[in-house]
Amino acid sequence: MTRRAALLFCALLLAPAAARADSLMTDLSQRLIAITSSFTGSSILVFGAVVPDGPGKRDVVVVLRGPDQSIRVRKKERVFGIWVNNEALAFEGVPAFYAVAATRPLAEIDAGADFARHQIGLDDLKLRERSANGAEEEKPETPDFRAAIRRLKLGQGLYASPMSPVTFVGPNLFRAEFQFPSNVPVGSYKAEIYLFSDGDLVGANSSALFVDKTGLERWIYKSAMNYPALYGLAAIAIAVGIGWTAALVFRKA
Amino acid sequence: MQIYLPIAELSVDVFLLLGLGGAVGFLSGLFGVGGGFLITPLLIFIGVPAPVAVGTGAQQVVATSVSGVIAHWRRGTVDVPMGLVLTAGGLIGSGLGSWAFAALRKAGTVDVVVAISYVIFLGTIGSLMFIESAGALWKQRRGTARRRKLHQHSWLHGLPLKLRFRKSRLYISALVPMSVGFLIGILSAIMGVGGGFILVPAMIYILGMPTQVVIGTSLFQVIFVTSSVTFLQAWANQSVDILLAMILLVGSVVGAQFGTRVSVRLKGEQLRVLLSLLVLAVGIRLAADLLAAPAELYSLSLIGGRP
Repeated sequence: MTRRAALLFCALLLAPAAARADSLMTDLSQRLIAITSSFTGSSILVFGAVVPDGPGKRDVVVVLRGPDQSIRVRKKERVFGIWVNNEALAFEGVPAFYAVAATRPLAEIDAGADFARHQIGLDDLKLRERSANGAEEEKPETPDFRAAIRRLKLGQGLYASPMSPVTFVGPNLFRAEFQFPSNVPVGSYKAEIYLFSDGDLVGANSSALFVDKTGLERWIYKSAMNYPALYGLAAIAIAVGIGWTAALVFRKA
Repeated sequence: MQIYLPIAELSVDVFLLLGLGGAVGFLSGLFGVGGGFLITPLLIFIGVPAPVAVGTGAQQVVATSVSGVIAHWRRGTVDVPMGLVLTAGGLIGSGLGSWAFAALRKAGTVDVVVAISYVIFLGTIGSLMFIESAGALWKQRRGTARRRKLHQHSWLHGLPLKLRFRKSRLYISALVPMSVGFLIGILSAIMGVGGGFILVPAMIYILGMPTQVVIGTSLFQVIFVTSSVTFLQAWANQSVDILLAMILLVGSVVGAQFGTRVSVRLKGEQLRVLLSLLVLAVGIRLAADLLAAPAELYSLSLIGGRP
């Protein structure tokens, strides 16, 4: 993450339009998404103000990305007439959640190099394969697997591009709303807000937010993770207890 | 009413879970099968991640079996010595099976082996049971049934370590049920199920136990197998969702009681016909999954346990 931040910083210094002193201020409606037992998804508002310095069309793009994960992708193939999992590839640093909002379709903003550098947009999201010496760059021979990750994550509601528009309220204020589905993974998330002027990156900001379980949900989750043996025994005890109780209740009935 | 499940990490309808639990509990009480081969695919179908479905399914089956065994106990249809001998064989077998599973996984052929062995077993057992039990029912109806001998004598009865299993009306070597338990232990470790649906026919046809005693005794054995699966899954994968299991349980313990009531009213042959149809249905469903081209070729899973 620090490497990404450093890259972002360098990019801003080197950006030709950085001479123009647009100012960008942003914030989030919430810093913590609390998952309770009645959690069925949640939404978050990313908002801010742009004070332009000079002419030109301003565009705001917001990228919301979740904790990085290592995932394995399996492909089914037909072996002797039977469909079975055959080939499998491992990927590193795949965001668990990834959504983009923009004032216009990304293609119209036309900042291809910046989009690629900052992984703005699902097409520019880098999905790197795991290899013996750490993560590798994208291999040209496995585009199907990367396409499958994007497709399956879209299907789960965890990827979206562009999810919703960034709308300007008056000349300076903008807002973008993101939806988290109920299967949103816990962890730390980051909202990156980019400001473009005629296709040049002129400003950027980022804010962290956390998705975490609370109350009973958190207690059960933490017990399972931190005391797995005890949790296993408790699970058996509960099962025996409920089974026994049911049998007793039914005898009396 | 939606509820968020802390380990499965998704939100589902409580009434859907209660219904699922109830239906599986009913079948479990009726046939003495743990129901793991039904509840696990159903949980996966509603979106629960596969490891959580296996671990939680096992916990749910522990409770259903306890409830079922107590109900059978009151009717005197649990053969405890037989259950213990089967369990001993089963635990040794599942240890060996886990080792075989790891070896197959290394060779990269585990999916094929599991899928094919499932279909072959379900298909064979289902067909044999159906032919035998439907034949028995048919003969009864025509009134031509001859009184069957309690059991046939074979070389199996010449083995040492003979024990008297009073409830099962058997006087056989402990090695026979021990080996049956052992083989089923291997299979259930490889196929990831409690093995009730293989154990029940094996007890009827190989050991020659009366059908009514088979169900209670099978449930007795299933308690131990699924308890060990629950513990191992919770310990190694943190994939047991207690909240999910408790909701399923409320449905399934009630269902199991009704299932047990129906099971004592039915004749042994009728129970066997129904169970054979259930086994065949699951087998056909699995075979169809293997042969039909899948809608989505790719699947994702997290590496290195759950975050």
